[in-house]
Amino acid sequence: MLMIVRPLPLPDPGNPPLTSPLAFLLWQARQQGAVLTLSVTCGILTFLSQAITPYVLGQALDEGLEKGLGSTLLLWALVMLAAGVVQVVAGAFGHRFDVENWLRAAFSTSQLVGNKISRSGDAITKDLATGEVVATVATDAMRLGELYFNAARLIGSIVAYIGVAILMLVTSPSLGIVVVVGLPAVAAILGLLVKPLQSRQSAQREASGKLTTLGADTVSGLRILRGIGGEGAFTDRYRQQSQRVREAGVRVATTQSYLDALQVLLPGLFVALVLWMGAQQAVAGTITPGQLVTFYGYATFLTWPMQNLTQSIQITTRAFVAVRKIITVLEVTPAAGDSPATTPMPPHGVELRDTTTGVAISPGRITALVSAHPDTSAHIATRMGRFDDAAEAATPVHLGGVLLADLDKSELRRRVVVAEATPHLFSGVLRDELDVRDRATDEEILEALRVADAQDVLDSTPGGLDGELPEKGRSLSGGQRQRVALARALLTEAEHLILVEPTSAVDAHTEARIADRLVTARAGRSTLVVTASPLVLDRVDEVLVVRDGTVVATGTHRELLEGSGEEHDHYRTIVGRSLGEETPSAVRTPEEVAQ
Amino acid sequence: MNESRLPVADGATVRKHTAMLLRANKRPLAGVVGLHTVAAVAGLAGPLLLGGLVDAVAEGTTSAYVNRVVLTLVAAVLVQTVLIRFAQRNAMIFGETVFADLREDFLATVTELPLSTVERSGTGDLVGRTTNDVDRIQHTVRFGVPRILVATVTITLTIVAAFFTAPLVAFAMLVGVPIFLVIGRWYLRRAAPAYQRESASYATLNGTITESVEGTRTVDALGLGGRRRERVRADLREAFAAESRTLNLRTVLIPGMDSAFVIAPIAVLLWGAFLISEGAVTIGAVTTVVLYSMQLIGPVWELIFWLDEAQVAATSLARLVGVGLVARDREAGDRTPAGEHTVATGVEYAYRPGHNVLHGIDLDLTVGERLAVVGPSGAGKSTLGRMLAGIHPPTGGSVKVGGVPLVELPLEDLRRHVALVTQEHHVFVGTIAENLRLADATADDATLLDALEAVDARAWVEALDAGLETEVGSGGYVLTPAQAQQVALARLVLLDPHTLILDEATSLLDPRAARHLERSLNAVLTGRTVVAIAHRLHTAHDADRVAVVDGGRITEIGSHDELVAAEGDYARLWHSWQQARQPFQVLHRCVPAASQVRLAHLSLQALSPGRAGGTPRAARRTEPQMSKKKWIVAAIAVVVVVLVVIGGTALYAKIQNDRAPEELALSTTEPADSTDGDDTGSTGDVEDLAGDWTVSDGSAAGYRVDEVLNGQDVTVVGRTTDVTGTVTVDGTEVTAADVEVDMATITTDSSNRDDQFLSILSTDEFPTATFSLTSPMDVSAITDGVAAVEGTGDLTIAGVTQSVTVSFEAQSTADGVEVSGTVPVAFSDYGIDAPDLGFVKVEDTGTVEMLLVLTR
Repeated sequence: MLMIVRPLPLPDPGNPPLTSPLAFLLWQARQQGAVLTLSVTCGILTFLSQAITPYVLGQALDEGLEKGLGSTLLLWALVMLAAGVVQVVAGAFGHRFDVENWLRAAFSTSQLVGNKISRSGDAITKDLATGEVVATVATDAMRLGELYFNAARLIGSIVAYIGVAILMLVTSPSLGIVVVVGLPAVAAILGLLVKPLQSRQSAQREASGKLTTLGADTVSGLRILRGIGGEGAFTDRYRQQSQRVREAGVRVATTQSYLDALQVLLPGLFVALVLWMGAQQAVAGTITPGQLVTFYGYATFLTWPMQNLTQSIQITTRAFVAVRKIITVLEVTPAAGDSPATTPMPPHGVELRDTTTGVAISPGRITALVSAHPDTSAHIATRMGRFDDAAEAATPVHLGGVLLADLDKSELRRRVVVAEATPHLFSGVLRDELDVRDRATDEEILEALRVADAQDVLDSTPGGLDGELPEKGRSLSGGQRQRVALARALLTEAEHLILVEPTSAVDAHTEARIADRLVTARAGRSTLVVTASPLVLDRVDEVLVVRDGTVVATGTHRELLEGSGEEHDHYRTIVGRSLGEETPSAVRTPEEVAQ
Repeated sequence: MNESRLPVADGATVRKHTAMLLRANKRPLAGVVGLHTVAAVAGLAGPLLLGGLVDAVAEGTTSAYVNRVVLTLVAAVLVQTVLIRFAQRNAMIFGETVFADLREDFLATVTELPLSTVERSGTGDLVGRTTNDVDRIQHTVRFGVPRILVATVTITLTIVAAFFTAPLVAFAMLVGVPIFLVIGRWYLRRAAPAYQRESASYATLNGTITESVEGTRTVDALGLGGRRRERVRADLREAFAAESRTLNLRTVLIPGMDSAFVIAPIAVLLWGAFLISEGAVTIGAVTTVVLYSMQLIGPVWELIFWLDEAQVAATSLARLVGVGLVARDREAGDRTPAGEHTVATGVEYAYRPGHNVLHGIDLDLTVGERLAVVGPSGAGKSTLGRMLAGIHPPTGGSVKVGGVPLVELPLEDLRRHVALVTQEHHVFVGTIAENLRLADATADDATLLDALEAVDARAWVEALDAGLETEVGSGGYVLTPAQAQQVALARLVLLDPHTLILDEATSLLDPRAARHLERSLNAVLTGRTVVAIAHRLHTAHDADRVAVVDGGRITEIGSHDELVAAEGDYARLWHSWQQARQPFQVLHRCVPAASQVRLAHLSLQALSPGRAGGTPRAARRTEPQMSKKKWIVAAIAVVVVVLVVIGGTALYAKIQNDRAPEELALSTTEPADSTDGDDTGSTGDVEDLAGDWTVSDGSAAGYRVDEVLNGQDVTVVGRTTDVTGTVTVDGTEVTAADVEVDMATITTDSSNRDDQFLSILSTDEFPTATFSLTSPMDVSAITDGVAAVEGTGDLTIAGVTQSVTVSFEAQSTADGVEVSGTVPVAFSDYGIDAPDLGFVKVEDTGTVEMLLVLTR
């Protein structure tokens, strides 16, 4: 049963304290206390069983070998075998527990980060670069795990070192002191060399990172390079950077080779010293030849726990740095809906109104929002979805008379869905990526694709609805991505659906088709479309024109077009680049029209 | 899109490549191995000397001897130190060099990939190979290869040394070898895929996190939080499964190897004790071999570790080497083009053999002209563009510039002749100046600024703090898509090819940005031959010529005006596009719904606008009329059918005697050839039908048309009551039936109709349509009200006359005889193409129905 590692991830990663890295680490240690205890026990057993070997070997030589293959030797051989069995078994179990420790800590942290970013909204990207957040999972969580993985090795090493030190001091105080003091000294000297090595390594890593960026950049633009030339320049540039990396590598190699040499020299000299002192004492009869072998054995064996100790210092330092970064991510608070709701959700069939501008989605109506500046209308539409409580405090939006900020955010998201102009497509099975609420039948999904005129996506995605969409929907063209995102928004079947420029990347024919199907599909359901396209405007129930922060005109597209007066002129200017021209051949640029 | 996946090399090729790589670095490799061999020999001194000491001490020795031995050991350590210093340095430099060679060769191969491969397979896979695969092998190549060499040398030498010290004892240290071999083999066979799965699972997890962070706004907006959390959990579950797999492998490997390491010294000890008691070896020798057997632990583990890594690296290497296997697609010749005249002759292209995308395209580009290529998606426009840009060699025919096939030009020359500009744009990492100098490495700053000026970009570039030297691209200043496109256009100005192929170059952009860019674009196009593949038709309008590509063929080519006048596909596209742009014109043309039209009997399905043989009035400034005309033609066709029906109906009404003979005062005759006899119930007298009949009030003619609008079927009806004419019956034959319909008064019930459609196919100002019977029609066969009688007549609409056949039936009413008829009509029979504009489409075939009230 002990061989069975508890399945991960756990249902609930818990709520770690974010007060300090130490508190976080201790909390995580308590979470996995049992496994930690088990792995440390195994670690101690492994190290002790290994530490005993030189001693047994010395005893066997002294008492056994001289007498040949006798019962004493067999006894020592049996002791060695027993120690070996303990080492093998404890080692095997220990490794499993170590790995479980690693995974428990790393996975829980990854889960915590994953949960955080699923709730934070874009608050997370305001303070942190995407790379930093990803690194908390890709690197920092792993470094945290490493700390717990290493716990058994660290404690086992300490116990073994102390045990061996005592044994040697008892056997020969002078030799014992040389070993106990000398080894840390050797380790310290080697540690000094690690610093310059690390700085050279990081210089090389940086150069190498640049090289990778350069390579990726060149290849990403390969079509252009192949089209207009410049491959030579790019190959040269890559070659130069590659050689810079190589030179940095050579510098690393130089430092590293000195370190490697010292790692031979210092322990080698140390062993020679031990051997010389031991042999002199053996010649003098103070110690036996077997004890000489034991000392030699320990002089080499103890370098291993020493290495573990220095490594543990690095691992712990790294883990603390990692936890600090993890805490930074976990501390992010969502821009909206961080505090609990104070008002129950209003009933269905109520109006969603932006009080500042007067833009309102009337129940069951399809409304379009137009302004001379697309960003302005997009901004109004976005805040009707409540994305930033603090920033939107001055521009209140009400659902059925209730301030959005007073409502439960996830309830609100179910009722009001804003599909922004640059929606993000996620990788996964096309069906699942379209039906984000997990409630549509295939027929409904196909219908939504039809409404968004995105059936062609089924052909360009091998496997159709069952096919895999790559990250960001990269296999699709820009227009396809927009239409898929529209289908996805439609499938939410939101009570209030707000679409920001849903057809900006499609051609006129497609736009006309989409506009027509969209109003049919959303007929009788509150919908707001931000657009300046006459093809869409012509089909909606009502058009709201916003100018200077307020609704200045309301009516159908035609009423607004046909009417006279400043606001109507304004509207005509917005929606038609060729409006007002008698000749339909208008192929003037918008700038010309504006003039 | 992935018609051509990039190849992956097979095992043999990878091994060949690896061997080549090692052979190219043969000398440093030999140096590394040599140094390490000597260093390892020096490293073997410790146990050997200790063994000697043990023997000496046991036999009794002096401290001077000990000093000598220890000094020897110190000397050995010093030698080993020096050797290790050089060996390690050389080994690492060897690894760095090999890896640098490898990646540089790879990138050189990538940048020389055939144009056609790059265009077709995209860059996603290549980016993956350049980053992930190169990264994955770097550790192995830089550290693994030297370490594998060192470990192998050390293991071999240690075993050799053990045998050299005491061959008899050394046998015992091999007791663990079978375990190593079995366990090692077992493990290594399974390890590579297991670790690959493990790293893939983490890559997936990181990808999920990246996606969540990048799409955090969408996650919030659509309430995807729960799904994203579940995705992370699923990724972690997979990572855990993968980790469990490798952990299980190690749970076999570690105790297995450990037990071999545990058994070896014990075996040596016991076997050595036996040999000592036999007097065959010394205690010192046994000590040495025991220590050697323990010294093997390190290098053996290292070897296993690196072999493991090497297996994983081999799969990445296979993908890198695979890129080199793409075959070249062109051979440069040495002919120099005479002039800039580009001609395509009989160009064919097939991505897969037998599936031609282009069928014998002939195109002669006039130097300096602007040719727009339009057509439905999938028609082969982009493929044609790539042929004209010399990117793919055509599978049939040729594209020549100045008499030389494009694909025979060296690439550098080709680019000076023709450049392809796609919607893809990419800002390279580097300064703006570097981005521009791709096109002309020797250009000075003034030239660069001029190029930017030409594309409207100088102002914003100069406004940047560092101007031309601003670092852009990944990690640098972020350009907007429009700015990026302007930089790309400025590059073209510098490159200065005489011919440009623009493949929807602005289509990915926000329409506002696109419009702005078109000015920049125009600057670039000036003075060049331009082929623009576009779906925005004003590009086409501006062009000197327009080519309509459909089904891999050029179906129409000519100036915009010519094509509009020709009223073909292009004209229809143009109209629909115009209408789409001009909603308020649609508005004015909207015809009020005709609510109480009696259409029970009117159903004309075959509406088809098309080429009326009349005067091609269609200048491009009168498109709405053009649309109308088509509609008129269609409506006329309907009416004509109606008329035919009317005529037939009239006849029918006359002979119909069982329904309303009395009221009409008609007596129907017993048809002479009737097979029904008395059972037909015919009681009238044929003579009563003779004479002229007038089409009176209450008559109506109309149509029912099935239109497909945005994928939905919409039935449209139109009718008029303005129907006049006469029907003459002579005996049992109708000898003349002339009916006129005033098409201008046809009113359309547009209640369920799309205004946009109306505007394209509107119904006012129709000419008159006429119908006349061309051959006497025998109505004696009509013996029952529901029987069908067919008649043939001429239908004339806007000058086009067609012979039509009508079937009808009749019934009597208080007012006279009502005749109704149905006529199936196919517009194509009238030389009229049913309009298919994609989102607005009219079925070619349908039926016309009519209702005539005939009185004398």
